[in-house]
Amino acid sequence: MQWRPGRNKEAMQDPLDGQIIGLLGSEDGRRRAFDLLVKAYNRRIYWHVRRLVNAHEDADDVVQNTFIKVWENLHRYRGEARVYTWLYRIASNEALNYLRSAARRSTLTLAEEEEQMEGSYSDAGGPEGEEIIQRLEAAIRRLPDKQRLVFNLKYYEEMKYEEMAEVTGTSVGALKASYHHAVKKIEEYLNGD
Amino acid sequence: MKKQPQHSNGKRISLEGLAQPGLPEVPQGYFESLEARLQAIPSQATPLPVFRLRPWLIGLSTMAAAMALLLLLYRPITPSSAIDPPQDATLAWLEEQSAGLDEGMMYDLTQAAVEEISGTPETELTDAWAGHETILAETEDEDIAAYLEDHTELHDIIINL
Repeated sequence: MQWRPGRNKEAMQDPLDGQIIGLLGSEDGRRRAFDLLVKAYNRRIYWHVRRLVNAHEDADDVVQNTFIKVWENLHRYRGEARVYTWLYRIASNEALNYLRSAARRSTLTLAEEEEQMEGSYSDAGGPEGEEIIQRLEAAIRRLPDKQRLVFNLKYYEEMKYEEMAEVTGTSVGALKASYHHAVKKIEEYLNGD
Repeated sequence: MKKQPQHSNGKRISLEGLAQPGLPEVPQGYFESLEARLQAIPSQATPLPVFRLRPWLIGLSTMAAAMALLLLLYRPITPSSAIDPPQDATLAWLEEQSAGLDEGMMYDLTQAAVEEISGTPETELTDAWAGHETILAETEDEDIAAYLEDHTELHDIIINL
């Protein structure tokens, strides 16, 4: 079954949580649990990170650093949160940290960055659809980093607000407000307001 | 100003009505490679965070390396011989100064050195090196006298005056 981000609910395997916890009792079990996590989530985490940092090479770095952190902290996982929200939390923090340090080093203006990012996503069919999709991508990229994270989790990953609260450490109410504002900003940009 | 895109029916664009952007391309075989690299993490003794060299970091590293090289190659301008004369040259000079001098002349030279050091022209050496009694009798400074009483070697007295 080909997985598509945010579309394939079957990929979200709840039984995996119990399996992971059951394996954490020994060093060998920990290794097997980590392998299971890598197999189940490496693509999802990659696309989640890619939508935040944009460039493939940067996403590759962040994904590797994410799973290094996962391995180092796997023995501490006790099942308080679901495995995949725990993974997304680590990945999101790594991506946001990367964006913060990249912003400190960057000398490009917003317009120059947008010019670099053009064409980073594939185009929809038809000239009108193509242009709108490009503007949609540009509008999403213009969102502040944390707001873009919230938007991506809701729009692409189709996470419930309660799950997003576990990932971001923010209240459900604040997340709903943040998503609402993000959608409003995007539509204003699309309509040239 | 660029004309803003609109639907053909002129209605305002809504996010809900739009298809999601497609996925960007990734290098062929990337996910297989990624999975292999991630699964190798537990085998690394101390997995280090990935650190990709950026252009600014390459420039900074080059400058640091150049400065380190300069420091290694740097040598003092003044030769050490001017600050710390070799012992052989000193001995040779002494021999030269004393060459051809008889005992009387050597005595005069030594006497002059003692007077210069002690600051008391009345101080005289006796023929015997144990001449500290003479110096002791002639000195007027009580502190020096007390010091000299503690020392029985003439050369020690001369050096420490």
